[in-house]
Amino acid sequence: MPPAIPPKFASSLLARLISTEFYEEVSGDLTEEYQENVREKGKLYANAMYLLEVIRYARMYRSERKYQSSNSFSMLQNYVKVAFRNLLKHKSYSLINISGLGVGLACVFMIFLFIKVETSYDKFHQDGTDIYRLQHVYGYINAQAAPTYARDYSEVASFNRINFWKTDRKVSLSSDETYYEDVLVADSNFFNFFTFPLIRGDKVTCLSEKNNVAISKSHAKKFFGDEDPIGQVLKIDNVINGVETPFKVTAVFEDIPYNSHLQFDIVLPFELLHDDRSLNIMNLWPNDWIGSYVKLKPGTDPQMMEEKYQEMWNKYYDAEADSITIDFMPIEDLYLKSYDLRSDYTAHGNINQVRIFSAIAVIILLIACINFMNLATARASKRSKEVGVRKVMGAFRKQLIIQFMAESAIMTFIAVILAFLILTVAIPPINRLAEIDLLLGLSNVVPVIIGLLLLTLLTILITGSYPALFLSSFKPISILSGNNDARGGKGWIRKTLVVFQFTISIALIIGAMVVYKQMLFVKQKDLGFEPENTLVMHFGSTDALRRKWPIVKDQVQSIQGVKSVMASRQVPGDNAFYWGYKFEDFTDYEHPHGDAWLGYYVGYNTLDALGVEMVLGRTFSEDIPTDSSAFILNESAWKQAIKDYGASWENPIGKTIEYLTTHSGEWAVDKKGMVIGVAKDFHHHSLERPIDPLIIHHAASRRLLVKVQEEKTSEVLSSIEDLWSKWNVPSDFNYQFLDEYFEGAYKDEEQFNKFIIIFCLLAIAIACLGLYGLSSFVAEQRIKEIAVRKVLGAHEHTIAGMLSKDFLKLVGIAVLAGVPIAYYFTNEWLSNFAFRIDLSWSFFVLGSLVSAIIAITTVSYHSIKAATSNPVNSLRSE
Amino acid sequence: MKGDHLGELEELVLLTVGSLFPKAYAPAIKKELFEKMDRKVVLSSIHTVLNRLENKQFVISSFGESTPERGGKRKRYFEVTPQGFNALEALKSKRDALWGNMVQLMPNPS
Repeated sequence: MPPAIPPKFASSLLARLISTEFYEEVSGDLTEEYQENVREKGKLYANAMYLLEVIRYARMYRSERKYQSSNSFSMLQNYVKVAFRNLLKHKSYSLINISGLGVGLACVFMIFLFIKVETSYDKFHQDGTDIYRLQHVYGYINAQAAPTYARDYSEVASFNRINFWKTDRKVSLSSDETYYEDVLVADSNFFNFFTFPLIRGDKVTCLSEKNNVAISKSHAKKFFGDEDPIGQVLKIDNVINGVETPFKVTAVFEDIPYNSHLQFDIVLPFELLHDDRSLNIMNLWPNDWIGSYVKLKPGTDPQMMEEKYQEMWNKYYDAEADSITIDFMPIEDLYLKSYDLRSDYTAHGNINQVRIFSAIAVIILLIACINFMNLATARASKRSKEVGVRKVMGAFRKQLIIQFMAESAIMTFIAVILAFLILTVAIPPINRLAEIDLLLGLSNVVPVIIGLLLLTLLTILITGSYPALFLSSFKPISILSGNNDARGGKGWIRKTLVVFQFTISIALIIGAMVVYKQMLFVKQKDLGFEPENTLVMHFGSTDALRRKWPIVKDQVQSIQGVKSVMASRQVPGDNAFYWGYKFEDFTDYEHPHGDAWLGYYVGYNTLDALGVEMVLGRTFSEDIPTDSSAFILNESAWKQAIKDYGASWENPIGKTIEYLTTHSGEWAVDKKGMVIGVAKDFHHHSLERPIDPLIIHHAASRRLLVKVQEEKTSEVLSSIEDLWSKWNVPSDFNYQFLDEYFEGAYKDEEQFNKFIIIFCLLAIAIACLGLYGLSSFVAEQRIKEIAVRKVLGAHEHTIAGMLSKDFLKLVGIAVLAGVPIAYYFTNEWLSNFAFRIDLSWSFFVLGSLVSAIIAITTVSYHSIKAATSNPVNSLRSE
Repeated sequence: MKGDHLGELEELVLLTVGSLFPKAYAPAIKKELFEKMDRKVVLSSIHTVLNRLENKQFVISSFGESTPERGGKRKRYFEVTPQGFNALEALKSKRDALWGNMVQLMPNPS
């Protein structure tokens, strides 16, 4: 029998593990044993034993083998030892360096987590890269576009349409419990089209019947507790016919992940919408109201499909029309990239925020790294002798580079640990403050860890590279012979870095000031109405409020501390919607429904009570019956009307407007009435956006608004709460303050700005930390010079001035470079706002001054310390 | 110095090397230890011990013949050096001295 051969992998491992000196013997012995094992116990056992033995030889790797180069290992130990000695010897230096880097890294990690959350939206759909949403100026489009695409173009694999019934539909159980919920209406292939996994039910058929409903896991629990939800009946207030309709639960889906742009808990079949009395609501082309998604076949160019829309429009609706456009928005980009739509049914992030944060993260990391590099090279004067001795003893340059890299790595690791400590302390309060959940991004840990590791590695490379290359380039003779040339280097790189750092800092200071000023401006802007001390309460249904309005009004009015009582459908901060309008004296409309204007619905006395001033005419009055169909324009709308419909609108009072909707058949006049007034422009939504032209209607109200005296607020609230139960209101008592509600419209933006300011301040603090450390080293380096000057009679302040001057020169250059950069970016940023402050020169002067003062204070501590020290102390040792 | 000390396994291996002379190599030592002393020792341990003994100059080694079942690798034979023998002997005499004084648990000497 030929001898068996042990597994290749194991024998080659053995060859690597032990030195050549023993290899022949050991491998022979093992092979011999292997033969025996194969003979007696079989091949498998022998292989296992062989491998096990080979692994055991690892112990001979270091301890028993004769080193070819034991030096490199012990030198590595030496590097670590020297690094730690240096850390401990220069405690303040290490503290500055590590804390600066640690804080910087903590910021960067935090921003990284934020970006991770923001960019993770809608990435979980199968074939997600092929799913697009059809959108134009709104996030929705007419009901025909998606099915027509799918029918006429083979590139479209499938489509799905949705419609949100927001505004709290009434949902009741057989047990008479009622809830108010948002409802999503979707084509029956919804769960096939999107990847929202079902727990119960069939994803193909669960929405095929008109009386089916799918609910989320959490809502199944909420509605039915531990009972089996499948087959249960929910009565839901149907938007289309206004009747409570029973639906049978056919499916339960997993709760929708936070990073889905669609957020819903109840899904009804799209078929319901066909019940609308008018067929045209589904067929009309110029009627945008349906969220539409299409799945293209892989490899299809979406742009090509966009162009087909014109063809479709011409073929099915209007052969003449041109420049009809549509956007195919990839679903994976939707959350971040369609933030500037005029209106949409989902929440949005903002790609610009993500970009700005990324930029700030890079800047902070750079500043922290520059600190590190500067301090390390400044310290070179202290280390140059060490380098010289090492070189004389035979160190190669490569080894020195490794040494300094290793030192940087150690410092960076300590900084990373510090950063994580900071993060664990800081993240919970930040989450509370910003009402986000940064750790959400950790649900898929692996990419996060890889990202953080890469960041750390990058930091090590940046921080380590310059000191390592710089220090290792010293010539041993010139160092050891006391020739000063190489000591501390020429410093120009250091100076460049300081200038760079301060340029960024100045730009950040100016940026932070502008952001702050703009925030203040937004807060203090005259809104055109008085939002203070106004309670907003949600009445549930318009019917209930209308019936009870006289009682409600009387009773609330009689509470002490109530200034006025209003009812309204919309309040400032709400989204307004576009409807069709036709104006008197004008007939040449492009569309059968006239022109699109934003309709705004208020109650009779809402405008007065909110303090909106009238420019012309009067507000709605309960005593004049025709006022229920009257209109009020805001100033912008008035101007727009004069421009669009001719000079006769210069005097708008008494002119008629037709209001068209699709509620009854074809686009038809819903309401025709006179203009009774023009209201002064007021901010009906976020200050980021300009005031739109509004046509203000009187409409049935859904909300109760109560203006109160500030000091009586809590008493009024409790009295209303008591009344609430007596009125038998369909919704639970809840309230909001109008000013808070209105601010909610731009709260995100404000929070984001706050974070920008915080991060800017941190960046500046880190930069100052670096400057402080640097100045201390320069002062120390020149300590003999200072002493000699003092002995020869120099004044303390001239010495302090001399030391500060160097840095101030650098700061001066930085101001020149930083101001234009700051101007460019702040200008760009401000252009996002409809109402913004002017970018005056005072920001730039103030910003430069502030940074100069910060620099002087930081540097002067060491300058003064050096200047006032006793020269004897520094001179006696020589 | 630590170098003169003989560990328990070292002593056993050294004894076995002596008893197997001139055919003492690792697998043979392993087998002998198992048969005579009922000790299961893995090869790598034996190699480690042999190397340690060689460093202490208690054994010397030389390469011997190769066989096909070793994959053509040569054997390495070990033999005990005089120092090794002395160390063994010293250990034994110390033990004997201890044995000589052993009274406890001994069967009645009479």
